[in-house]
Amino acid sequence: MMKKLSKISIIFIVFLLAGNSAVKAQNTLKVAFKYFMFNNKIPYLTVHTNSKIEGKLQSVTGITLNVYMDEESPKNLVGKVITNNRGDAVAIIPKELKTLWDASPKHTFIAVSAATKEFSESNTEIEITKAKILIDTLSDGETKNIVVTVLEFKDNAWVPVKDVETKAGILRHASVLNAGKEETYTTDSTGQVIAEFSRVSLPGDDNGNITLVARVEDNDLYGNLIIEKIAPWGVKVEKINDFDKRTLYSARFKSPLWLIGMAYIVIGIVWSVLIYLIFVVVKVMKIGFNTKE
Amino acid sequence: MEKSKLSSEQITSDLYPQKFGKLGTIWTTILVIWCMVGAYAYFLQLKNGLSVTGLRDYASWGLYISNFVFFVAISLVGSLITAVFRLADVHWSTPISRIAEIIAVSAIVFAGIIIIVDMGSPEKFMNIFLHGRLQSPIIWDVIVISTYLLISIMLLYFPLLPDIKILLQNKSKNAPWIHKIYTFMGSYWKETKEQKSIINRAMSILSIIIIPVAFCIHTVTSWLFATTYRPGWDSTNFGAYFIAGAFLAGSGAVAVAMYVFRKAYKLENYITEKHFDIMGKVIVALALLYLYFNVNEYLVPAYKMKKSEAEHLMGLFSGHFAILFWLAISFSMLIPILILIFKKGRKPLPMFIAGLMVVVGAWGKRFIIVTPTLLHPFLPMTDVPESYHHYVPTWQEWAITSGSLAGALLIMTFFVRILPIIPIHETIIEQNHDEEVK
Repeated sequence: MMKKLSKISIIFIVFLLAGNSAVKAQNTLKVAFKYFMFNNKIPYLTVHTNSKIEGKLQSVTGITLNVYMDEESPKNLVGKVITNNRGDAVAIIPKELKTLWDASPKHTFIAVSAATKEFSESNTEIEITKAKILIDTLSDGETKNIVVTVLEFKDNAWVPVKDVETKAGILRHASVLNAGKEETYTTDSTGQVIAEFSRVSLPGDDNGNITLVARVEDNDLYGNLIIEKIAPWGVKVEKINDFDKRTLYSARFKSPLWLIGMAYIVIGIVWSVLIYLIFVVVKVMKIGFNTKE
Repeated sequence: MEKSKLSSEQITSDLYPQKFGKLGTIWTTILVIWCMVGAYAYFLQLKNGLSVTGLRDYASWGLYISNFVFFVAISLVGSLITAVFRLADVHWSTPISRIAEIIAVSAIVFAGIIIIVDMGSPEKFMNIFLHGRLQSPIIWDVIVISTYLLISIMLLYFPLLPDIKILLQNKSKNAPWIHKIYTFMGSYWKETKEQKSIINRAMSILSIIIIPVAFCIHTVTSWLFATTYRPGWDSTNFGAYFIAGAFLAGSGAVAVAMYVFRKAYKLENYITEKHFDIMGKVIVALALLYLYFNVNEYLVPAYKMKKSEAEHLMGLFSGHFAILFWLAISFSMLIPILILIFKKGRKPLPMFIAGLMVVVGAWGKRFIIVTPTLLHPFLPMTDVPESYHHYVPTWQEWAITSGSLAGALLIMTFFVRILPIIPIHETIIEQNHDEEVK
């Protein structure tokens, strides 16, 4: 009877443990892995981790990922990154991998994360063909155009690429403003797009400069290519800076005159009374010292 | 009043400063040791920096600034008892006017000191003068505190002159070093008609000028908070709220001091039950006024419960600071009101208990005003260590803070050892006047 009871107990405990572990099952980690080339300089990779937790897709913080170029081996390690509180991390391709980078027009990047208590392991790959983007301006006085060229590295040479969707616009504080009416443009057989700049009276900096920007975004072959160029196509904007004027926020000697006046009048009145009272004490002392008991 | 039966000699004898007895010596020794512990903690702070405190990026104002606000609040009572009652021609307050004034002076001295302690490096104090901006309430605070200190000292000193004359006339009763102090302070006072006239005029001027300055000192202190944009401080009511609280805290302190001085120096004939009764009524009125402002300060934001303020308010009402919050509200207002609305509650001992509760509650209330708000800014900082989200004062902070309180008590203790805590001359004059009326 006791043996039977023990067996039942063991089965019950095992069942409970199994149930408990089922509750704490690992979540699947989703990794968004992207390639970027900014102004045709150092290429870098971005990682964003998220997962469906309690029915909601949430960014995952603190995930360690090893990013490799071409194969998962220590000598091909681009970097070890940890996602921040927004689930993002960046890995810049180090100069040590330049030989490897130069050796081939195509590369595969691999982002690997090990399994944790909360999340399953992940392995994400992207394949990139080396490409670059050029930007230039074309103006005949009346019309202004942005000329964008997309080139890929093929047979040891940069060759124009046809049918690549690009964006051309103007960099503003929080976004890119379209240069003309079109949202996107597609490169022709010469690898070029010409976007007409139809923005009139666009505020620029002190000299009327604006920043033109051309992008290839999330391209299956080339990833993300971004290039910027400054052009004097904006309207000069003289920035009004109140800091040197008399404001409540300005420096010590730039206090508002009304405040200075008011403060000194009040302080002057009060302290002149106090100084008068000190003289009163002196006067009382003199009277006392000159009086015989 | 019983004092009308007393002769001038009896009054002088009763109110003459006395040597410390056994209890007085023990009390003074404890205060000196307490101050030394505070000084040692401050030495450690100077040596190792503010890192020895619990102050961090979030709670950059903690015990020190709470203590500063408390001292400023307590100091306001000098203007109430001395100036307001004097201008209103109220005579019952004569025996307690000097108590109120010495509380005011000692509190304002330590308010100034504690601000320098909070700066970390004391040499930074010079930056207020070298780089201070007139637009900043901190500069206004420095100006009004120094002004208020000078006015309070004058208000304490002028009425002392006739008493010093009496003390100088009783050379045999004075220790030589104390007699030298009297000589230095008031040997010039001959009580001529001209001297009396000048000093009476000066007292009237001081009584008038101290009222706006006293209102300024605490209003400006409230503006240190209200001119910033933070939950709990973002209020247009703050000046009046602080002044109401300050009058209450100071009156509580006077009630405590009245009881202690009465008991220690057997002043029952001078600080009578009638004084406690009237003072009790004053405290009830001030507590009700302060309660009204508290309802405004907490109920209106709580009714709206804006998201940005909710965390702060819930922390006070039912969260981390709830015990301290409700204790502060109960001690500083609710329980004293319940005690003091009854005539029996306005007897000396219940008044002492109620006064003590008001003072303790007032200190807690200042901590509640300062710290929880700092821990819940509208715009939270990012990437700070978890510990920055909490404020736990270190022993050094407690030692310095309590040391400053001991220092203020020590000033009062030495004052009462050297000078009469109840005006002798004024008491004799009032008694003669009362007899003439009879």
